[in-house]
Amino acid sequence: MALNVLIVDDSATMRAMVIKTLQMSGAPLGKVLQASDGQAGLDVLASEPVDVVLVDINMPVMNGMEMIERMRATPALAALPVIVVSTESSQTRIDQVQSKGVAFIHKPFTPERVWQVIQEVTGVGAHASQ
Amino acid sequence: MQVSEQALADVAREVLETMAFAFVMPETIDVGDSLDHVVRASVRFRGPFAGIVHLTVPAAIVPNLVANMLGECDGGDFNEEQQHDALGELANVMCGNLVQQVAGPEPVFELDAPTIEAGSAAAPLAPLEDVHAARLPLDEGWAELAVKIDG
Repeated sequence: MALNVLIVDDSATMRAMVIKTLQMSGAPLGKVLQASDGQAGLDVLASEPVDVVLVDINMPVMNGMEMIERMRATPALAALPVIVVSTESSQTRIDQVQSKGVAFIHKPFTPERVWQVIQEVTGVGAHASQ
Repeated sequence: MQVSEQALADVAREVLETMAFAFVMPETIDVGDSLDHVVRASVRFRGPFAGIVHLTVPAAIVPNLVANMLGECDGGDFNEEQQHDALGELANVMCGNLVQQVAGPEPVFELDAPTIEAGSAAAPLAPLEDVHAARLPLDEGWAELAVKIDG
């Protein structure tokens, strides 16, 4: 199964780094979509089929936490796997993120870590690595 | 609030090596005339304590840092916006990691978006009295991570 991935980050460099990391990780990629803030991410989700969302927290217009809350309040998006990719290191804040059923990847990250978390939240590739 | 040079060096090394494949070398730094041609990305933070983190590098090495971050093995022709975005992202990640290392695992900090200065306005900060800094020799050029705590 090829994964359609949405990457939401206000830094174009970081979006490109995540894409490169996904390619290096061995994840079976389908369509890779990008958005530069939470609202733009929701707009993409309204029009494109997506299997997993990787989202930053600190962004202009709409931050990652608000985007996640709006997704959880939308029946069609409520169960969509989400991974927060952030420089956030506070365990308090990480616990808040994870309480919403969201996985967490800390920056800086490695391809191995990204692939491991994608497997955990999507189940894709999990059997191959066991 | 004291921030050790070792803490600054450890954070800078991890981020530069993991994100930009820029490796710290065990030799002395010769900044030479690169001090006139530097770029600085700064990130302000607020939490149990507040301040600002600065990442300063010679302008000449920024294109290679960007190329490494984006996996462009043949280098690349990156415009100023791309170079500043990449340097700002490095500073952002360093700031997030540094404040947590200093404050411990629980406190919550808010980070502002990075700002960029170039040229003489971005001279390294290490000699300043109220600034804690570590300057690292890289396989190409050098990088200085500095922090100034408010108050």
